[in-house]
Amino acid sequence: MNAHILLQQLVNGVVLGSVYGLIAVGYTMVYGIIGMINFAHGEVYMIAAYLTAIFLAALTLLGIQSPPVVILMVLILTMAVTALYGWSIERIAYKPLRHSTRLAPLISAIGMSLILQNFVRIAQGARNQGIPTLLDGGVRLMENGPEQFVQITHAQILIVVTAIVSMGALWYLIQGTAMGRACRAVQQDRTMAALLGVDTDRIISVVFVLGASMAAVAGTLVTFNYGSFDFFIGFVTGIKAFTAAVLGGIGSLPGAMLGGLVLGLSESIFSGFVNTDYKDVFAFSLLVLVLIFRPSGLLGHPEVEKV
Amino acid sequence: MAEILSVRDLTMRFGGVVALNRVGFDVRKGSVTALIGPNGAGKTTVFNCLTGFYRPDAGAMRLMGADGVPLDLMELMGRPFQGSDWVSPRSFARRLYCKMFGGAALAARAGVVRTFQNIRLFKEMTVMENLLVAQRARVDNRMVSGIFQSSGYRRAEAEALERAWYWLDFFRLSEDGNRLAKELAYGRQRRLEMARAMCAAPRLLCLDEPAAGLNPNETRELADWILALRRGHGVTVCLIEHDMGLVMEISDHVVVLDHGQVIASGRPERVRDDPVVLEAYLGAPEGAEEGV
Repeated sequence: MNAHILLQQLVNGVVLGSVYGLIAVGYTMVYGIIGMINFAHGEVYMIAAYLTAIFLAALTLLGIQSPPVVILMVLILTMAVTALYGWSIERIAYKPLRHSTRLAPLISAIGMSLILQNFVRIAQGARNQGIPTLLDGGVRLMENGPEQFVQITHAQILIVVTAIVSMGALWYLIQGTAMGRACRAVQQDRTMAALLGVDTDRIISVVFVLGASMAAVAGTLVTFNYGSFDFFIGFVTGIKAFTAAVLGGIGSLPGAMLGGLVLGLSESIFSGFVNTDYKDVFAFSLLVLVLIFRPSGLLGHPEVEKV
Repeated sequence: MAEILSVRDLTMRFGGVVALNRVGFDVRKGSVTALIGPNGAGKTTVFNCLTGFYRPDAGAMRLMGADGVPLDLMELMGRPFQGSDWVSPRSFARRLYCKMFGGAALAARAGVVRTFQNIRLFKEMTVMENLLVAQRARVDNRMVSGIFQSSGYRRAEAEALERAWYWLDFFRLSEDGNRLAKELAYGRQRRLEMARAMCAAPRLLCLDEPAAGLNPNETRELADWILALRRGHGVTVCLIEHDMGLVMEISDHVVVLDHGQVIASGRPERVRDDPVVLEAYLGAPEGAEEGV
């Protein structure tokens, strides 16, 4: 086994895992609070990629050139608008179905996903789009020869650092503030929280806004890294992130982060050493295995019966 | 004394079953009113209607507001539109607001807070967090002020914490502040549920079988607490209870329900000797086919 390839794939895996984790957080939080899988969440990520390109173009038109400023501004603007998308999706597609059967919002989510995909396809065209590279270069470690090195690009460093910072901020928000306390209360017993005067609809909206912002972080970072995207990228990435959420234990915030990391690492190691074409097969097989031996996921609690 | 709550003709059906049939009673401000009756009489359904848990089919529920203006609880919970709602833009706007945002949370903010027969705590949260969540009116729930820890936010949190400690001391739970709610013993969980309800600053506290599962000593303490709440904190208490000793001891007014109807109401000693009530509890005196 080649140590350089292993290390390189570990680096790639952590980067991929951070992206999965950021998106998985949205799935797991929404599931935790209203018990549904928000299938439109992948599209939110896709929209964030488009918004990144739009804001990048706008800032360039305004003459702002400095990469750090551009990256930060694009990130903030994309998060804000994507959060608005998340909020609207909940208000339009899920809130009216709050008191209906469990299946109804699920169908509505699939519909929402199709609507968003096709909206983007019509508005932006079906062709693959791209943005210029903002961050190039990187650091090479353990270099001993032209083919023998481990490369970490600056964009990869940006992804991991931003992911850690935003996950930290989210963790603090949920565990350390009054709003997060209300979120956790609504997650545990929505009716009881309402009976104590907590505005549960507002808390649910907040959760969608937070989930969408985290997906926006992922969308922006990935776009900065790869530079190309189309209207369909939300589907596969969404499914992968959902897998990560289930792997880590859906409903659990650290579970989503861990699940993303495990999935990203195993995918890149598999594609580095075995076969790139079958990496998705490996990822989903891993999910199957985990669910057989630990049905509630890596960090999930066994289903507690709700009164 | 003025009525804090008046219920008139409250009717609730589940399919063909009439759970409540034109139930009416009053709760006077500062009193302890007990709702009693055999199992299935509709006592808990009354509570569920009062707190917005269910939407009653018909009837009226009025709660006297803190400012002396009566609040229509049915409206707060978002009852369907009626012809009269369209008359003035103001009443229409209010109806629309309640329809969109109404429900249990508005009833709770109006001051109706309840506990449950099977305790419903936020089990994965600490005792203290349970009490802080209930103080919705006091704490600053906004995301931005939470992230930046604004001075208003910190002040609100400090006040909420102080208030929570007060009720922890009151219900003798102060040493459990940092434990998870699910780790507490049953009797303590019951006390925590009452402490949490008190943190929500109720004007009408609805206790659903607060003595269920408690031993005689704990029931004794409970009676003292309820009386202290009423005397020292101006809380009006409405309770459902099967422990007749407790009911007779602490309540000022007793309402007896059977098959979804009020069959008697009045002072505890009068209700206790009422033949209709005895029959509902024990069956007909002679030749009765049905048992208890």
